[in-house]
Amino acid sequence: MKLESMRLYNFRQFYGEQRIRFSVDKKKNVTIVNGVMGAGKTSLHRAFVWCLYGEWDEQTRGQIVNKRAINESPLNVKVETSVQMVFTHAGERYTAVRTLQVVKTSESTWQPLGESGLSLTKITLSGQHETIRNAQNFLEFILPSSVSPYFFFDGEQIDEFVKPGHETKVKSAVRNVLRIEVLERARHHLDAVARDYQKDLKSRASGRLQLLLVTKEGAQSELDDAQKRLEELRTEKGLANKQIEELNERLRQIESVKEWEEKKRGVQSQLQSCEKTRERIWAEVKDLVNRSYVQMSMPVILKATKLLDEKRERGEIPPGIREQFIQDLINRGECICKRPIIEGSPEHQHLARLLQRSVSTYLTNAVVQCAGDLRSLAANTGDTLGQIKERMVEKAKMEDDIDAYSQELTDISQHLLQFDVEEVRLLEKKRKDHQDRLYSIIGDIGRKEERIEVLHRAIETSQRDIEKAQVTEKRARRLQKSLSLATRAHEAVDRMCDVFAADMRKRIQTEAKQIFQRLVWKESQFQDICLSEDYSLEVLDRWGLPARRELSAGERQVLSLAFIIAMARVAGEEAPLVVDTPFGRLSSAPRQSITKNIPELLEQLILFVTDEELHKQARQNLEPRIGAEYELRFDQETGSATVAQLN
Amino acid sequence: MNTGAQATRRDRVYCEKSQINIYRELAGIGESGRKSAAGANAAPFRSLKEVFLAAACLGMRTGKQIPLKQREDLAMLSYFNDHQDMAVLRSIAIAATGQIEVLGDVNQIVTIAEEYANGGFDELKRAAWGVALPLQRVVELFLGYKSEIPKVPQE
Repeated sequence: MKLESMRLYNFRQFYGEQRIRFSVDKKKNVTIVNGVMGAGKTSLHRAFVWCLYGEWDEQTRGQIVNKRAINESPLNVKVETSVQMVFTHAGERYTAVRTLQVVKTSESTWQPLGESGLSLTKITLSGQHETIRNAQNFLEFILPSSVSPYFFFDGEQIDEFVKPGHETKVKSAVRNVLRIEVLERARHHLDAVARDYQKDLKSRASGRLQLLLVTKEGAQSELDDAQKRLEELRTEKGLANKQIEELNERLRQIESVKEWEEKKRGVQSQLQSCEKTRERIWAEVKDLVNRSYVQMSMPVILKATKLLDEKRERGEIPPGIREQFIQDLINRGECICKRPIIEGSPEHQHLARLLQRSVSTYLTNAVVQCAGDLRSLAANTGDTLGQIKERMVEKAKMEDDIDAYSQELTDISQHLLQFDVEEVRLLEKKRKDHQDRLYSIIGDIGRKEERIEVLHRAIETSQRDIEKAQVTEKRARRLQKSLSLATRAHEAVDRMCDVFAADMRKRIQTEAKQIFQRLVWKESQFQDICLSEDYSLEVLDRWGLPARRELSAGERQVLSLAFIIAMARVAGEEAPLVVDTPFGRLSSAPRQSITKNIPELLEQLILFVTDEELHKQARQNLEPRIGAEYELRFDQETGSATVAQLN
Repeated sequence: MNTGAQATRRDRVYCEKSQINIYRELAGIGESGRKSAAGANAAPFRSLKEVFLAAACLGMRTGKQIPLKQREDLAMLSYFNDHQDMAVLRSIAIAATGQIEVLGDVNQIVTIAEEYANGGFDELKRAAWGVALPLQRVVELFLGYKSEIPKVPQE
């Protein structure tokens, strides 16, 4: 930032408009503003900070708006105060304006109307202008408010950098001016991000997916085994049936048991038929059960039908006269028989009652349809439960028959087991064994099929859970990557921060040492300075020993100046040095040394000096570098100050 | 006066969330929503709609109308045919409210049926869930009500 000009309007003791053009000439880079005590140097110095950052403490610094301007203003008329600054930065020209308005409410009182905020406009070479949005943020980017005190400072307080307990101020200055804060913010942010990732990851990565995969694998393996076993059982069943059939055939070929075998075949056929009938009856029962809700609802259907019938009997549904027709008669005020229908008349009241009892067309249709449906249901729903009862009786009878036929088969088998021909006994024994085995196999098949069904469901459930867990796991893997990245970035920024701070500290130390050696006067015995790791700014004497405590006020000021200029040069900040009362506390030797050397070290130097600060030699030192000079003149009569250009 | 205009006509029927798995078992439907071969034969009902209608009838008969606390999708309303299933639900709504105006509001008709199904579900569950021969148990349950059902005078 390089300051070009400043315009004050009714600011503090500066009545009306006052302008200052700062020197921007590289060879004549010094602007001097002279002024006696109370002429407005400090106000002018503060105008920079107020205009750019809005900082003003009325309690300690008094009101901003010029008192004379308020005094001269008629009642209830706005009085405006503003500071406008024109500056260049990075090859662009900007105008910064801050305004404050007040209104005079009585001869001795006034009310503030609020501050305008910073208005920043970029002006191009061709004269085009562009308003900068978020002006304050933009300005923070050019010259942060935390850094500005090191460029706009009060010379009388400059030695704060070398007073006891100064380390915190020095560290803060280094961090602000060199923007180490940005890196530290990044470090803290990355650390916080890494912690968040870590927390999130902990809640997600639970090994659940692994457990689910093992469960599913186990279920799948059991399913494979069960299906294999089911196939084997079915084969065994087929084999057992075949063996039974072969034994039956062999028994049938024995003449003496032929009759028994035929009888057995007949009973078996009857038994199968009975079982099929029982299955059919059972299917019919199921079908009837699924339809029985209509009959189960019959009391409700009849109740609803009765209610609808009552409405119909009362003539409410379907309405004899349509709702719209009644409404039309009322609206027209005349009946179809030409009798007038006047509001309040018996005719009107009658129609209003009819209208109240009427129902909408939509509802009428719904009611009519419902009534029809319910009547149809009531009429057409058979006695489903009665049919179920009948089927259950049939089923019971069929089960009795099945029992009887089964018993008959048992008796036949028993008879053959005791037959007087050994071969028959043996064959029947074998057949019975195979039959028992067949029943056992059929039981096993049933259990296996049931187990397979359960396993299928378990696998389906596991698969769904696995898919959910995979999503979680995928997120966890992404989180792991993000965590790793955030941790590495945090470590890198951490190292970068330390390395950068250490490097900057060394560079400031080197730069400050060179500047200090240029500014320090011959008689001074202090030759070197050191900025330690804990940001302690130390001066070494000619014997290389710490000597900060022995410094005079002038020497402390030189040390501070060296430090500030070093910081600005290392940071590459393009900012002017604006110092109020720079030499107030300096004796002749340091004053001469500073005035001789400092203009060469800075891009732009603006000094607010009293008539006593610039003695002859000091002024001669600065003279070749002064590009602009002003004087602040205070008029005791009006209580106002004006700015006068001297060259 | 009801104009018949519906704000948002619902398209599905709900049950209590805690009941959905039992509904499925009674209809022989696996967790995946498919008919299970073994379940379908053993289950007393053919579909979720029939379980719902049976539960609603039982609820209405015992006078238990319980609003749903946490609802779960049960079936699309379009599965309920108009002249029989919906007619039964309408009759329940008329009988429950004593008002014919309820016929103008499908949402209210279905909500009332859901509440009665919720009320009747426990009885159905006690009879037919987790027992051997569930169809046999449902038959016994239904036949137990037969004497209470009036005979319809034939025209």
